[in-house]
Amino acid sequence: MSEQPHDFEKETQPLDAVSPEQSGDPRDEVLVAYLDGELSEADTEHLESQLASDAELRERLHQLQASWDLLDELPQSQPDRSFLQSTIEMVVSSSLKRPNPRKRWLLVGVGMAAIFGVTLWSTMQIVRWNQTQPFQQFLSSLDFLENVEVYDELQDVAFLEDLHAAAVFTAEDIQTYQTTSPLKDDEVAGADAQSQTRFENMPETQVIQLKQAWRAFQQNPPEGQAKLEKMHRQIVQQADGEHLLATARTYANWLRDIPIEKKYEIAETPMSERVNKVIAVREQQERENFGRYGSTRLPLKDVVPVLRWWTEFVEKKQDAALAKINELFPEETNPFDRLTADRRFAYLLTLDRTSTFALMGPEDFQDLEARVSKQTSRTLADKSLDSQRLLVERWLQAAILATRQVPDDTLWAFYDSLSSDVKNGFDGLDREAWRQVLREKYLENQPTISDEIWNLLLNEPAAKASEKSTVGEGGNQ
Amino acid sequence: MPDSESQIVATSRYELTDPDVRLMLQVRDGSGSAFEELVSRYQQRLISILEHLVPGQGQAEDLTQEVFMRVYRARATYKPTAKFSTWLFTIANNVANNAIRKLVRRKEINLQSSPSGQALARPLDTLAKAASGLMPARQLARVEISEVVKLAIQSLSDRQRTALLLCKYEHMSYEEIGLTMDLSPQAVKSLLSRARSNLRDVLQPYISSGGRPPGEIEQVDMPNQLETTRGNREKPKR
Repeated sequence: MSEQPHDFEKETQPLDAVSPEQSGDPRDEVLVAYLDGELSEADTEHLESQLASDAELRERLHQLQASWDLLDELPQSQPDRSFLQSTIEMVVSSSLKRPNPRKRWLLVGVGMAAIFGVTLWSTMQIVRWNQTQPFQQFLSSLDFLENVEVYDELQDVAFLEDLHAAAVFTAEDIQTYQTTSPLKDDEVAGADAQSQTRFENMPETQVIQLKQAWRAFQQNPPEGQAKLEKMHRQIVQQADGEHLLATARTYANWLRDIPIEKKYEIAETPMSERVNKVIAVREQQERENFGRYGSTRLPLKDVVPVLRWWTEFVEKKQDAALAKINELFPEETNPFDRLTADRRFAYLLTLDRTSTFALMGPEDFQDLEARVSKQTSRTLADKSLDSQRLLVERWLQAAILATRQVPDDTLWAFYDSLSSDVKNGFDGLDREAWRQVLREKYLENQPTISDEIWNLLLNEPAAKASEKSTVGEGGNQ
Repeated sequence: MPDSESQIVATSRYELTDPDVRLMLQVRDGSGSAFEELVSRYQQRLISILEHLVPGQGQAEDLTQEVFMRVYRARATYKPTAKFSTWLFTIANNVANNAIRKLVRRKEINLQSSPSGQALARPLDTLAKAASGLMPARQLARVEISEVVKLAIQSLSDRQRTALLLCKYEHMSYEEIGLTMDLSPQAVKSLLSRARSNLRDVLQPYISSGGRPPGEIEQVDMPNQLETTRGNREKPKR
């Protein structure tokens, strides 16, 4: 550490390799080091003399210290008494768990010491645990334990049934949120030998989770335990039990992800009204999150550059894309036959990703990076090719929706105006697809919209022309 | 000094000065009770840190067990080239990073596969809302100060949060944090400065509006009072 005292007025040292918006006042670095006792004596003396004469600096120091002290308000977690025992058991049992066949052969070859001889203590622990009645109970409850946290979150089977019947979560949601494989019939039967084998072959992280669940479950009062076990039976014994469980897991995982105030709102809603509340929260999220994808949001200023890039891309790759689409769709049903050229790009992206997005290569993304804002460009540059394709797909949807977004009221009025036959055609779609198709149908019937987009695309000066590379401009002529 | 020689010197230094290093050496030699003692000493400290690094209440305990499992597995090759706590929290940092990566992957898949998928939780939005008075009073009452502080910590980047927690709760020096996070002390200094500036900015409304009763916040008026304020690490609270 430098023995030269800091002079705040001359302080020009950059704060690590961070972007300017992340950097704070350079004085903070010295103040924080001072509070942490990390300044040299010379720096400390110098700072203290400055503090004595500089009220603003003192206030800064006070604020840093006060916010630091607020961290003491956090409650300190105290693991319960069984945690130590459970950790030892888990560590020891995992070290003695059956390894894969190759390793097993190796271990046998190397000697018994590697299997049993770590310490006498270790062996005693695992033998004790494996032979106990609780361990046998644990084994026979694996199916239940995999879901016990979910049951705890649900609290009511009738609510789950309503949630499932209302199809609040789409198939896509369920696929995303499934963390464990659905139950199979033989697993529901839960033969002890199978459970033992399953346990031995489970990934360690799952063993840890199940043991935690087991411990948490046992801490419930007897009536609480009985209630959760009853829920499990009620669910798995239903003909549709597997799907109910999938919905239950999806709901529990979704709850974990939503903001805390929303969770409160749901928890405070009576059971009879809760499904409607969940639907309302999801719809609100849908509105609020328009244009947000992952940690990335496509800024409005990038909408036009993205659409321009897409139009040119389609133009360049149109033949190749159409060839792929023709492979996928017989000629008589090819939707392109019924479309005017100016709507093709909108349909291209709603078709199977493999048909069009697989045609995007690194050079196309470099082209896009050169047109959009620095932030958007950085987001794209950091990703793998597959992720870039996914991201661009979402950006395109956001960009197109941004220019074509239809207010809900208009959409519902449009739906009302459709003939019964057309409405029947919508009935087989899931909730997400229903909205999407309805919106597209509406747009198809609004000839002026595509004109607007084309005007925008053709007449708006390239957003990046003055700021960045000429790649975009060249392509737009 | 040749590397091997300097390593031997460092090894014996930590063996002499750090009782936990001596315990770990006993674990290496097959002592179960020494391992139990280490788990007992560090379980709460690990959980306290990990619960701010990964979401979900049970997750921190699971990861704590995973850390101990890795410690136990690594016992045979253990060499005391740093304080035991530094080694342990390096493992914990890796375990937490893996867990976060898995979680982010899951969320990315979710969010990229569904246009209606909700964005990542936005603690800063919640905080801003709470601070601006937009949150209904009933909810504000429930979001107590500890919840606000928790959200403020969550609003930091993963690296800022890790450095901040190691400094606050483990009283680690910048050098030790650097070893744990694979950073230079200067980078740690800068990281912590940004973390604490951000924390101050986020918690500012609660400092001024009585997150704690004003009398409880130590006033810093004169340099001769600064000794009581600086060097948090020098006064471990454990």
